[in-house]
Parts: sequence; structure tokens; C-alpha cells
Amino acid sequence: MKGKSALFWLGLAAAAGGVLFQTSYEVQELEDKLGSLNRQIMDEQEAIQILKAEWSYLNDPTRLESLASQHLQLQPTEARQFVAMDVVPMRPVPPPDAPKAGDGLKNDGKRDGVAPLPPMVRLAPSAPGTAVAAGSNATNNGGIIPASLPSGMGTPAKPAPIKPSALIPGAGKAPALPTAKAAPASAPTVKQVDVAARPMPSQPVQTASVPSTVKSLAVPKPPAAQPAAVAAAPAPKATDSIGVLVARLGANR
Amino acid sequence: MNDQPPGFESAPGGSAPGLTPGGPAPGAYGVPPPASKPRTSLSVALERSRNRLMVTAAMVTLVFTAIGIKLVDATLLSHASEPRQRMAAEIDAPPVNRADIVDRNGNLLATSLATQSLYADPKLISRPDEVAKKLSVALPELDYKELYGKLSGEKRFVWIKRNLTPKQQAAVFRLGLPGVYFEREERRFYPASNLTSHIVGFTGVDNNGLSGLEQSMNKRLVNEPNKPLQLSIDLRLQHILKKELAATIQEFSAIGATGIIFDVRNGEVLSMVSLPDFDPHDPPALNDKAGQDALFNRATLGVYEMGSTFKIFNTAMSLDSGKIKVTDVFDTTHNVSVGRFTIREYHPFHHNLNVAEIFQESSNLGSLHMALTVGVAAQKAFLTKLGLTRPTALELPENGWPLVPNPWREVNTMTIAFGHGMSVSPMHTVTAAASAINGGVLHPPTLMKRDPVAEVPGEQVIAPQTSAMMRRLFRFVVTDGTAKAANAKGYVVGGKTGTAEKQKGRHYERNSRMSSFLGAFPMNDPRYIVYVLVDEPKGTKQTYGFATGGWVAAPAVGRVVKQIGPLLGVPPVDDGSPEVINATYINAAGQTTPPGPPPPPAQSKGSTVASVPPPSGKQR
Repeated sequence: MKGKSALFWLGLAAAAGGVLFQTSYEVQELEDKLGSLNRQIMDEQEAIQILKAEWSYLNDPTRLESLASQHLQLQPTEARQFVAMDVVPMRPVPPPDAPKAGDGLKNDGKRDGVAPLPPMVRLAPSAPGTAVAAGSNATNNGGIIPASLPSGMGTPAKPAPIKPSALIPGAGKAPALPTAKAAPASAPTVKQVDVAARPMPSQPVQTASVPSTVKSLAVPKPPAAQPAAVAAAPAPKATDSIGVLVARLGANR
Repeated sequence: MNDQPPGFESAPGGSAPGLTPGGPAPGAYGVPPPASKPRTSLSVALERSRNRLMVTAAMVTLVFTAIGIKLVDATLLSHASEPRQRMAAEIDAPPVNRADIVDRNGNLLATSLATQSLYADPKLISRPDEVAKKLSVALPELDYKELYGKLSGEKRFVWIKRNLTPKQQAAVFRLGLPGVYFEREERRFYPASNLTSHIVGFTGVDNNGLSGLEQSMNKRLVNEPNKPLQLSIDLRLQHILKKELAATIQEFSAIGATGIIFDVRNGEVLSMVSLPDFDPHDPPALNDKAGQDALFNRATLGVYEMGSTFKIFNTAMSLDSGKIKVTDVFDTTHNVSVGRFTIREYHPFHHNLNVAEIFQESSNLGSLHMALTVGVAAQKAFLTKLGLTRPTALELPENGWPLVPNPWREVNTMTIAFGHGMSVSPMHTVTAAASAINGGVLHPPTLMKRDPVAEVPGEQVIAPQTSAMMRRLFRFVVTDGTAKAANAKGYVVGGKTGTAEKQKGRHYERNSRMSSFLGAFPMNDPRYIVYVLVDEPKGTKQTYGFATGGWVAAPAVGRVVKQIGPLLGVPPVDDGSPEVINATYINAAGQTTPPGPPPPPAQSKGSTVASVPPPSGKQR
């Protein structure tokens, strides 16, 4: 009996010792691991610190500006490019009977729906001439059209801030193709003056694209109203929110 | 021991009943008769050794018990008695000892990077010549002779090179030289470099701030290394302002320029540029003349006679005193002689002007008479109230003391009225001018981003009505006065030009000027001041030889406003809309109510409906 209990205690002690050793080795191992992890964390943090510094260095405004002027066709925004939310008109509902310029209308709808940036980019090639041409174009559009034309007419005036070098070949052709057919069909008189005034080098597709989009916008309105409006009121009425918007965007140069 | 005697006694006692007459058979009973023997020497020795054993056992028990208790205490009860060897590293703590400095949007302006520095223990270097040779090959910028001198010395520690690049470190490491060691050090790095050099400043080789916020905030940066110091500066504005200032310097061949963008509502300095500037990684030496000029912060340390921009304070003081109304007319045709000086107009007027016109046309004589009407003591008290006689509260160590006349005589009052005879820093001017247009509250300027919920410290120094009138006058200068070039369409700029002749020695130079423009926008509800001061501009052909504030600084401010307006989220308004006109209108007669529904064309130069380009004859 006595021997058995002694044996039991001895066994227990041995087991406890074994477990203790095991645990202590495990702890040691874990601590080594922790140590190396800590070192790794420190290294990573130092690396993060360096990367942050590099990020800031690469984001230096001076550098960004030179890069932007090299690779982008953007210019600083001007006050007239900002419009209050309540000035922006609702999207006009297209009348059901407009079968002729169906695809053109679809184009408009898309343009009205999207943010102001895409049309700007898409219409960038509409100023293929010199800087003077672009300027006169803008003032023409702004001066004559706002009274007569509804939605989206602000957009042709927008390319003004974009440099003439802003020729994006692919972008101009995409919208031009579907509407090019409709172009000769019903180009309003107002626009023809505009086209004539602009020195067009040799890009029939692009020249067609501008008036065509313009014209397709004009379609929903009764054509008779246009000359009257132009003749009567070069300035938009106060109630004409679209006209006000267009004047804001284009005319205030 | 205690029970022994009874046992001992019991043996005889036990045997006593066994004592029978027939005693010859003692072995027949259990109790041995020898036990009843008297004490022998053996039993005594046995007893003593037993006692000793007991004592020893007791001692051992005591000690082991104590050890056991202590063991339990050390292992189970008290955890903190001994620190753990390894703790997990903190995740968000950058491994540096100096806090970063960031701008208001979180862009880094200054950070610490860990680098390795090389040092040597010359005692452990047996062949200094060889070591010096190898090191000067690995690090070509080291001088062999100097290095040899260092390594053969008697010291136990010499720096060889601080802050090696990783490549250099690897090169030295590969040499495997004994007695040469690396030490981890930190080095300040300024990603924005020159752009914020005057604000952030720079540190020395031991990472102690030597100028700018690095110096004034040294304690804070060291004590809380994990919390970046956030400034009120906006890096984008800083860039725009510097770009325009540099362009202005180049256009007018000026020797320097400074600019400030200031939030009039809470006193935050959004941008502060002083040109020429310097590279904080390699600050110019102090004994270098050009270097000193570059280190000099014109925006805060430089004090200048501000010229006509002081008429802002003169006019505000006059209107605030209640003695002068905006329609009052003062003599502007007769020059005033004081001692050997004659005070005259920049370009003479042929009729007397009222207060609005004096401000618009920047008349020296009119301002002088206004100041005299208010009085010497009142002027001194007013300028003191605006903080123009003490350094500003800005956190920079480079904070200039204004040069204030002492004693303050009548002639000082006359000259101070149009900005001469008293020198203040541009920061003073901007801070005080902000209080003139923001409703009359003087906010101390700060470079730290203000807590958006905390209350902004401020002191009412000007009556709100006066401030409202000042806004109209500011706008009037831009629409019809000396600063038409500062107009930025949609942002309703207002301001005041200033042109001061610089004092060289004992007299004023006619052709070295300080041309400045203090612009604010939008004037219907002022939010920001843009201030530009150009040092010694020369007139150009485009400006017809003029180098005054209206020709030099005002166009720069206009360009800056056009660019920063969108960044600051200032909604562009229609300059000709009735609300704006009502809020900013004043005419040459001093009337503040705009005439009838069709606003005057001079006022609404850019109405929405203008299909013809506005007449740009005078606009430059």
C-alpha cells in the first residue's frame, strides 16, 4: 500500500515535471517567434514610414502639376464651370413621335443622364481648329443658342477650356457614326453659320458629328420657334432655367 | 523527551505489580528489567542527538516553507514583480522618436526615417591606415587624411559618417572591419521640401529643431512621437500661392515676395509662402548672404511699412470711432508740410474726396485728415487693440516685433494713417484686416488646425456695422478702384492695394517699393484673405512702367483666388445677382443702396446674360 502510494506520487511528479518541461520549451519557442515577429513588425513599420514618405514625395503638387500638363488635357476649373444643383434642369421627356432622329435622341438621353464630364471628353475633338477657332466657337454657341435650344446645348460650349491639342481620335468618332447619317437631313440654320465660321481642316466625320449632335438635340423643338427665339431674345428669360444654365456655362467668358 | 520520563517511570511501575515473591523468572514477563536501568551515558547521547535532529528538521521546514510561500507568491500572486521578456510590438506606433508633421489634409510635411550611422572605436582598430583607406574607398566622400586622424586618435568613440544610405551601409558592411560599428539613427525628411520650408523649418544633425515649427514645437514632437502634428496649412494652396508668387517675381524682376492665405473665420493660416526659400534637407549656411535671405521669413519675421494697406485700419478706426461717416468729405488737394517733409499724393487729386473715395483712390492726404480727426491717442489705442504693436500669436519662433514710434507724436499719426512710420509683418496686417471684414472679431493667427467643435478664440475689436461697411469698401476698390485686376469672376473679390516706398538709410527710395495687395473673397460673406507682397518689383512694358500694388500684386491675387476658390469649396456666385450687389454695393457718393432693378453696369460687369464680351479696356 505504502509502496503503491509512493509510486503514484513519484509518477505524478514525473508527469508534472514532463509537462512543465514541455510547456517551458513551448513558451521559449513562442517567445522566440514573438521576438522575430516583433522585429518583423518593426521592419515593416519602418518600411511603411519610408513608403509614406515616398508617397508624399511623389504626390508633391509641383510634380503632379508638371505630370498633369504633360499627360492630361485638363485645365484648372473656372468659376463658370460650377453650377448650383437647383439650376440643373430635369431630363426632358422625349416626345413619342420622333422616329427620324431616333438614334440621335438616344444619344441625347444618354448625355443628359450622365455626369457632365463624359460629354466634355467626348466632345473634345469638336474643337479641332486653332485656339481662336475654339474660342469663337464657344462664344457663338453661347451667344446664339441658349435661348433657342434646350438640354445639353451647354455641352458644346464646354470644350472651350480644353486646349486645341486635346484631340482624342477615338472618342470623337464613336458618337459621330450613328448620328452622321441624320446630319444632313435636318441641320438647323443656326448651326450652319457656326460650321461655316469654323475653319475645318479635313475631317468630315468630325465636322459632321458636331452639328449632328446639335441638331438632334434641336429636333424635339418645333423648328419654327428657333429663328424667332434667336431674333427676339438673345438673352435667356429668367424662367428659362436651361437657358440660364447654358449662359452660365458658355456665355460668361 | 517529555514522554520519556513517564515511560521510563512506567517501566518500574509496570514491573512493580509483577514483583512477585518468586522473582527468579524475570524473562517470563514482557517488560525487560534492563529498561529500568539507571541513565547511562549512551541514552543521554541518544537523547541529545534526537533533540538536535528535531531542531534541524524544524529549521529546514521553516526555510522550505518560506521558500514555498515566496514561490507561490512569485509565480501565482504577483505578476508584475518581474517584467516579461517579450511583449508584442505596438501596431500603430511608428518606430521613431519624433512625431510627423502633416498638413490639414494629412499630407506629410516632415517625417523621421531610420537610417544607420557609422562610428568607430579607435582603440579596437589596430591598423588605422588600412581601415581609413578601405573606408574612403567605400565612401568616396570621406577624406582619407581626416579619417586617418580620427581613427588613430585616443578617443573611444568617433563618428565616421551619419545617416548612411542602405547602399553605403552594405558597402561598409561588406568590408568587415573590426572596431567599426553601425548605430541606428533617425533623419528628418521633408517630402514637400522647399514648399513648406519656412513653416516647418528644419532640424540639426541630432534631430533638434533649429527653425520653424520644428523648433517651437520641439517638445511636443519629442514627447508624443506617435501623434502627428497637424497644421492648418493646405499643401495644394501652398503650391498655387508659391507658383503665382514665383511668376510675379519673374515678371517684375523682384527680389522677393511673400503671400498668405488666411481663414478670416477662425484665424487659421492656410498657406504661407516666403520667397526665396530654401531646401530644409540642406539649409544654407548662416554666413552666406544669399542663404540668409533665403532663411528669412518675410511673412512673419520681416516687418515692413505697409503703405496703403494700412488705410484699411485707418478707415475702420475712423468709422468705428463714430466721429466720421462714410460720406464725410476731406481735403485732398493741399499738400501737408510737417517739418522738412511734405506729404503729398501719389497722383494729385483736383477735388476733395469723401471717405469711400479716399479708400477707393487710396488718398494719402484724406487718410491723414481722417486720422487727425480721430486723434493720436485713439489711433494708438485702436492699433494696439488690433494687435499691431506686439508680435502675433503665431507659433513660429520667427515672429517679428513691430517697429512702433516712440513717442507717438502727431506726425506719426499722420504718416501711420497711410502706412508709413510704423512697420509690421505681413502676418500682422492679414490678422488685423481679417477682423475688419469678418464682423469685427480678432482671431489670433495659428498654424495648428483648429478643432472644429472647439470654440474659436476671438475678441470683438470692431463694431459689426463698421465691419459691414468695410466689406463694401473692399469690394469697391476692386470694382471701381485701384485693384480691378484682382477680380476673379464668381468669387466677389474685394481688397486694398498697398505701395510703400522702401526706406534706405535716412530717406525713402522712389524706385524700390513694397507692392502689396490684400484681397478677400467672397465679399458678400468673407471667408478667406489672400495677401501678396512683392519686394522691389520693377515696372514692365505691360504695366506701362508701373510697379504699384494694383499692377503687381492684385493680378497675382486674382489668379490665386481663381485657382483656390474651387479647392476651398467656395461656391461661385453670380457677381451681378441682386443678393451680392446688395451685400457689397457702395458708390462714390458713399451710398450703400444700389439703384433700381437694373443694376449699374459699372457694378455688374459680368452679369449672366452678357452675350458680348465685357468691355475689357481698363481690365488689363
